Amino acid sequence: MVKITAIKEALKALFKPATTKYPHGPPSHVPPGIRGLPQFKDDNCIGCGACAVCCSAKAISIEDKGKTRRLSIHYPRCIFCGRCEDICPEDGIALSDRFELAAYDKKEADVSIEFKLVRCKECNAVVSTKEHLAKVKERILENIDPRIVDEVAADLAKYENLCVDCRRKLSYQLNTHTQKYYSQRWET
Amino acid sequence: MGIMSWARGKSPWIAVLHAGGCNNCDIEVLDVLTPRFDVERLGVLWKQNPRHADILITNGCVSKHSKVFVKRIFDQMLAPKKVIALGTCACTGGIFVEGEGANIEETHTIVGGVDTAIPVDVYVPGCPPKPEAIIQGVALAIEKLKQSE
Ligand code: SF4
Ligand code: SF4
Ligand code: SF4
Repeated sequence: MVKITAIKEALKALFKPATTKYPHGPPSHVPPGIRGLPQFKDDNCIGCGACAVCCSAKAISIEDKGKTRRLSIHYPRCIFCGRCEDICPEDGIALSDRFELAAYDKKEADVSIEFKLVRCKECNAVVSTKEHLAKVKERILENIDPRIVDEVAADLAKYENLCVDCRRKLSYQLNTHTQKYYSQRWET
Repeated sequence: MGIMSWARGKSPWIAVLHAGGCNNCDIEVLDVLTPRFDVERLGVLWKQNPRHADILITNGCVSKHSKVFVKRIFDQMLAPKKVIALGTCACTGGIFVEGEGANIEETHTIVGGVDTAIPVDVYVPGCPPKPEAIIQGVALAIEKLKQSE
C-alpha cells in the first residue's frame, strides 16, 4: 500500500514539482487528524478545569479573579498530546489543524476562555463556574436512585452556592447530611 | 535597508544546535532539507558552522551541562545574528520544566528554554513542529535579519 502511494507520488512529480510553495503558497499536505493548536469550544466548555489538571506540560492555567474564571492555553508550552481533548467530559476542547504558530514574541501567545464564577455565600471562597454546577446537578439527578431524586434535588438547592468546607460545616444545620439516605432500608 | 542587509536577507547561512530535549526536532529539521520542503528555496545555505552562520536554529531545552556551550556557540557567531527557538522545549522548556520567566522551576538537569541562556528572536512552538512551521519560522527570522543593520 505504501509502495503504491510512493509510486503515485513519483509519477505525479514527473509532471508537477513535488516541492511545496510554502510560505509563498498553501502548505503541501495537511493530513486529517493532524495535532495542531488546541482550541476551546465556547458552546460546550463548562470551565471545570479538568483539562488544566491533566495537561502534561502544564500549558493550561486557571485564573480566578473576582467574579471571573479565565482558562488559558499558553501554547508555547503545549506539546499537542491531546490529553485535554481525551479527558474533557463535555467535548469542550479539541485540537485544531492550526500549526503555523511561529512568532517573534511568546508572551501574548495564549488562547483563552472566560466564565462567570460562583463564590461561596458564607466564606467567599471559589465554588466553581455556573455552567459546571448546573452540569453536576444534572448528572447527579440523572444517575441517582429514582426513589430519592426529589429529596436530593431539594438538598442540592440548599447548598448550591456553598463551597465544599461550608457544605460540610453546615450539613447538620441544613439537614443535608447523606446519613439520612443510608438509614433508609429498601428491599432490593 | 542597506545593500549589505539586503544581500544578507537573500542568502542567510544557517547552523543547527541541539541543546537537549528528545532529538525529534533535530530530525524534523532534516525533513526541511528534503526535496518536498526544500528550505533552500528561500536562499538559505545549510552551514553547520556557527562562525559562518547568520541564523542559529536551536532545538531542545537547555540542560545544566549544555548551557555553557550554547552560550559559547552564540558568542562565536558574527553580528547581526538571529536565533530561532525550535520546538516547545526550546521555547519554554515544555514538559521538562514547570513555570516560566521569573518563576521557572529548574529540575536537577534541565534549566529551561533556550531563552534562559541566549536571546531568542523567533519562537516556533510544536513538539515537533511540522516542517512547514519550521519554514515559517525561518521566513520570519529572514524578515528580521533584513531589518537589522
Ligand atoms: S469542559 Fe473541557 S475544556 Fe472546559 S474546562 Fe472542563 S475539561 Fe477543560
Ligand atoms: S494538547 Fe497536551 S500539552 Fe497541549 S494543552 Fe492539551 S493536554 Fe496540555
Ligand atoms: S519539543 Fe518535543 S520533539 Fe522537540 S525536542 Fe522537545 S520533546 Fe522532543
